[in-house]
Amino acid sequence: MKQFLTIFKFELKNLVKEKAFIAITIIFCLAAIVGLSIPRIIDMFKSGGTSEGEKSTMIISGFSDKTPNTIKESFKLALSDYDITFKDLSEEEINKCINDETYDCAVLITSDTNFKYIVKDLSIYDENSLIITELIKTKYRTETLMAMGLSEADALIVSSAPVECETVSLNVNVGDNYFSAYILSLLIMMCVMMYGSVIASKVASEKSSRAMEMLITSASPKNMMFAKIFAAMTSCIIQIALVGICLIVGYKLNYDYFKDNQLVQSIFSINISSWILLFVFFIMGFLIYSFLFGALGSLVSRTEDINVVVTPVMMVLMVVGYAVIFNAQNPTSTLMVVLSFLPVSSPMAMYVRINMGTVTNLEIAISIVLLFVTTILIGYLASIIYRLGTLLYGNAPKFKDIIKLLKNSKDNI
Amino acid sequence: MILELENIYKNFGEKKVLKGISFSAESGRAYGILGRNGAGKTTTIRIITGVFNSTSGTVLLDGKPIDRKSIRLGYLPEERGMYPKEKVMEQLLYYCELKDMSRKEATESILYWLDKMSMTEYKDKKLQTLSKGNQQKIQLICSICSNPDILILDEPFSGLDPVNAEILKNAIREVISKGKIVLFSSHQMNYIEEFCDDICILNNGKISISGNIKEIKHRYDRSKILIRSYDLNKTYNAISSIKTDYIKEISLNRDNISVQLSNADYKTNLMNDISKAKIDIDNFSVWEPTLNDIFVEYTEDKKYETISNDI
Repeated sequence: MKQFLTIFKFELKNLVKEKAFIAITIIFCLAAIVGLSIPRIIDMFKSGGTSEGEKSTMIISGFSDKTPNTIKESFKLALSDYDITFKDLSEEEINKCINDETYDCAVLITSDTNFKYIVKDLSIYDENSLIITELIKTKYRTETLMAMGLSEADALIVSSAPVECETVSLNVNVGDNYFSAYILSLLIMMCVMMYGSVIASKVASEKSSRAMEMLITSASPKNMMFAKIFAAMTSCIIQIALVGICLIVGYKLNYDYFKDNQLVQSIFSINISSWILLFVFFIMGFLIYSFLFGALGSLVSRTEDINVVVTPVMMVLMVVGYAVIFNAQNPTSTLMVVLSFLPVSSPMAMYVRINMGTVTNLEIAISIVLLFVTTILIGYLASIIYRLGTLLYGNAPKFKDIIKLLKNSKDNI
Repeated sequence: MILELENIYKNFGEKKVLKGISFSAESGRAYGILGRNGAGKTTTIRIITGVFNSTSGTVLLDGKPIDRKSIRLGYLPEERGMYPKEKVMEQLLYYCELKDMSRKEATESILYWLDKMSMTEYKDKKLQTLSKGNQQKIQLICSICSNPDILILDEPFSGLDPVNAEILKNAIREVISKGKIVLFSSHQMNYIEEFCDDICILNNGKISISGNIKEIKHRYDRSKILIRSYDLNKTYNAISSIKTDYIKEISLNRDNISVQLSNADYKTNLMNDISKAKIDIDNFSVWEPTLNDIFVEYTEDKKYETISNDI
């Protein structure tokens, strides 16, 4: 155990003082705080430019005389970011005004149910046409109802009557949890991929630098492999924790901007049992793949050869990872059920199912037990491969060579 | 302490790498393990260090199966390498701590050896910034700073300049004088002769010869005499004119004259005859094979009968 801790400390220290680790952590931490502060930053810019003179300008042309003033007011209210001018101009005149930037945009009502929204450069975020469509609908309905004899007030009440909907989900609200389940299962996959490569390259570089020759007489290969993997996992958790702290700080600082944002709320309102399950699945998912990456890294003697041996595992991880992510909307599908029990995919798939569907405790328990047993088995197998691989120099072995090596493992160690 | 290998066999699948290796090495003496590339030296060393298990046979320390957890092993592998991007002191401490040394004990020992090898100034430098020779010195420090009971050195002098080689020699002598078991593997026979009292030569996984170097040399035919003088031609003619029947052959070499006697017992006769004839000579010695000659003889692709310790 003392030896394990010595290697663990050495490896962890090396991992966290690496420039790549520090740079990635700082970038993610900054991204977390800055990302969550974007609404505040935008607001700062907006509030800095709220003076009347700096408001965008809009001209609306084509209102008939019978259009009640209340409709005009509703336009002003709905498009409060704009300084609106109601003036009847021809399309040519409007185009000219827009081109010479007298106005920023224009609405040309061509009939009761048709209008043109004219703007010089249409932004991808420009939602004015949708707002105006609703306003024109109300205008048309109000005018029609008034023509049918209703008073302006009654016509307005009928045409703009709000409809309220309350959705009641008797079980889990898939919509609310989709985003958090999606993000967190993606996080598991990204961490495993990133740190899996780190583990494989660390082992291979120990062999290529021949540090392994000295190590094998000083430490047991099992301690070497497990300490290295646990150090990588710890550094990954440290990284996630630091980014997590920054996310919480960013969220708390900007709470007012996110209190109505369901996507963000879904992440920050995950309950403790869900976090515990995520942690359990993360640990075992990380370990199961890391054992494979560690063992495969020990089979090559040059860091350039790592890709050759880790590609199959990387492929498996990507295929199951994307299968889970693309099927996350449908957590009860047969594919998702199968993936949630398969140890190579259950860390992601079962977590998605727990968050987005109805999963019994028994199903969760079976998935965890299967994952746990497989992790232990793969860990054992990986330690044998690692023991054999550390002394194997030459070309990267093929799959059949690895099997042969394992068959003769008793002779080879 | 006595380290004994008893009838060690090692197979890798179908391949038989070691076929009954037996030898013993004692404290305070260096033991040389010689052999051509692929003869089984590294496998033997790895079995001693516990990296491999032997297929059969045992490794004993003081008559009991070796318990590697209760002793310290120092190993300088032929393939040099440590962590290139780590600082010298940090990684030396790491290796010492892996061998169950306390940090204080390790620091003291490392600083002692760094000073001994004139490497103290490099302790906070990254290994990769050091010259090849200095890296090698750090590697040797790594193998001895944990104060090992058994020290195994595989080609310790390769790539070193004479000054550094001398520093290393002194360090190894100090380890030997402290009563440690030192196993020495090298192809540089002069170093083996300098350090080792006993050797074994491995050939195709078997020991083709083993024992005390002096005894091995003494077992060779001693009927060949080497004579040196200032004027070799004159001496050669003078010895050739001695009329005896015990001289089988005389030949003039670049540095000496070799005289092949019909029997080693006649060397006194030859000395007397040279004296009587008043031939001026500087040196009269019995020819002995160098370790290199013995190595070549016992590792050529011939089938030798295994010669045991009694040689």
